[in-house]
Amino acid sequence: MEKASVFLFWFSFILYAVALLLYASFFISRKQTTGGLATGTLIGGWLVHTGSLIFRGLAAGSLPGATAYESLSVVAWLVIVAYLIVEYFSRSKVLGIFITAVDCLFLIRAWGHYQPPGPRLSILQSSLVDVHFMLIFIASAAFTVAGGCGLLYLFQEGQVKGRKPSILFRRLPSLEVLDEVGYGAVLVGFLFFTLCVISGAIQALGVWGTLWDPIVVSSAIAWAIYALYLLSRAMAGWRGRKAAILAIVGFLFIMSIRFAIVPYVSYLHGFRG
Amino acid sequence: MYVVVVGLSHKTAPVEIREKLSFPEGKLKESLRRLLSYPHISEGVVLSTCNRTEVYAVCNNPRKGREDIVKFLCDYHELEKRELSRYLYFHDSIDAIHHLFDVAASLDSMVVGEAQILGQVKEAYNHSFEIGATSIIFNRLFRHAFRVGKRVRTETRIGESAVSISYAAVELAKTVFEDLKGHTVMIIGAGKMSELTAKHLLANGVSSVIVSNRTYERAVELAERFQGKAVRFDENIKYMAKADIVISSTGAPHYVVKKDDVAKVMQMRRNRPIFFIDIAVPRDVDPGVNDLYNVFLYDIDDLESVVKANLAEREKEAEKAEAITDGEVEEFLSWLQSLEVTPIVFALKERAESIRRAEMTRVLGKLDLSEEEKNAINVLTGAIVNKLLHQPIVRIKECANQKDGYVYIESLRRLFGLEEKPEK
Repeated sequence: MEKASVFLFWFSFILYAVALLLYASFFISRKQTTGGLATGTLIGGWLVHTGSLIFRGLAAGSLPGATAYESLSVVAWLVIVAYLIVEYFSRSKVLGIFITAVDCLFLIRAWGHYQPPGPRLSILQSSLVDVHFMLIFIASAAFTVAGGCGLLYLFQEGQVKGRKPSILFRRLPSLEVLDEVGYGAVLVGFLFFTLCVISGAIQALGVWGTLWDPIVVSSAIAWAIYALYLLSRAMAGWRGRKAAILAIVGFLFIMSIRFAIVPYVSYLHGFRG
Repeated sequence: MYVVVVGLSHKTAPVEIREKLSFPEGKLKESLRRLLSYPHISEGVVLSTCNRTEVYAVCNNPRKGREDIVKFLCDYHELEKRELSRYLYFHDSIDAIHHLFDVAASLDSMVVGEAQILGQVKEAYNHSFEIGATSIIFNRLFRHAFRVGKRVRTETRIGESAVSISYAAVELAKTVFEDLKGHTVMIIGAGKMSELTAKHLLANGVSSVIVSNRTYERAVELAERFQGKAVRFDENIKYMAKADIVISSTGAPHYVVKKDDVAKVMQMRRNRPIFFIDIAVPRDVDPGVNDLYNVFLYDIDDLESVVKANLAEREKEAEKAEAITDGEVEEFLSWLQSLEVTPIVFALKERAESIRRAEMTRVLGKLDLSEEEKNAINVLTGAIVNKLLHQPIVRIKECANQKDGYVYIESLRRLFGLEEKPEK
């Protein structure tokens, strides 16, 4: 079971990497067949990835997500779901380059934390913990898409404002779409992130008896960044560039929590399961 | 069988001549029937657009085919051959096929890469097809040409970018707004150019128009044409807050849209993006406006440089397209040549057989031979002729698929004097 899971994990990694090349080549060549092949390969990779997660769960006897390896793999898997939805509705495949690249990095990083499947720490064996995991995974996936949209927005705006647009600008989605997809992704991410913070706080109080933990504090700051994004948009009409910058900052912050703070400073969030 | 084309286009003839030579669509079928009545024309297609009139034909002799087409053009339009001939170009065989493919791929168009021509070629072909003016060669050739046109369109970026100021403006607006539907355009200064740009924007989905002009009556007039709203010049700022795209082309010697005003407008519209197209010279919109948050401004020079870049891009793509058409011409020629080897082989065999028969009757009449002996001679001569022709026939079939195949076929034709054989 573990072997099958690992095999499928690497198989999906290869398919994501191929999809990355195809998306990039589609961006340059614009051949419809290449574009179709890119999406097809990505969906194939995602299905294989799904298989890997199922086998992992069966081997461990619990929902995957409680170890560093599992959590990154699940986030990578969800990012693809979020992206495919965006691709379907925006009819643009440019974001695919960013998404597949990020996913490949996620999977490589995940492998660095690889541990054989096993039972969870007793303290993590509650359904509230499972919910907490799922919430943060979905939120991370949504924030990743929002960050990608923000990045593309800044690039595209630079092209339009610069008034000497290269042919590249025609291959990017319009500013309006980038802004609105980014907004939608932040909205979804924020909703799940809020619930995640609440469920985390409940457990922190129950288990530790205190909220004074680096993860809790940094999560609160991340939450504030996204709250600012939504509030400034609603109240002051901060859309476009300012919103894009906030989405990128939020994404980078979430990533630095995950990769710089979580592994080093917190026992329960250290994923030593 | 030869494919030939006689015609004129924007490259060879001024519009006065092109007009005279155009074929109205309603009378096209009748004129095609007339074309086919000329002795050397076996298939024909007439392509008539505002930039070109071309007659494509299949004929058994290119020179005579050309004369027939020119005669047809002169007769039909009641023109003197003398006044027409200097505007006409003529291509035959490979050049004619190449020309058709270039036309269908929009490589020969006035604006290279424009999308209409392929449809026009299709229509021209359909007219001919319906009345049976096309047959085995043109049915294949024109369908091949449509494929080439489509391939060039999908595999190169030849028709992708805007090559006029007003289209460039539309294209740029679409990089800001995904869908122009539901957006409002405001026109300041009711000039020809702003009207044209507004027309393109409306065709692309813009749903409402606001017109402002110094003379209010002129604004009303233009607004009526677009079923829009006319506003007074001093209310510009108020209405700008409602517009998403602003086209300005007044004759004012100073800026009509100032940075402070736009800053106010942006506050009123809560930073929703706005796109200014300034096509006035001297400029109407303060260039500093572009620095404002969510404000995008293009002046006439910017638009022109976009168009210039796009044109250069098309030229580059046209080179790629040439490579595609070259390959396709090769492909078609190999088919055309394989078509030609069959009648030539047939003619050759027939020639040999008729000689054998003639010699047999001549000799057998002089000799007194038994039935058995006659039979033996018959079989013998037949075997000699077949063995002698076997190798050349095998070779010619091989050669037909090669690049210079038609040279071998042509040689065979001449060496054995087969050209007198009626074709068709």
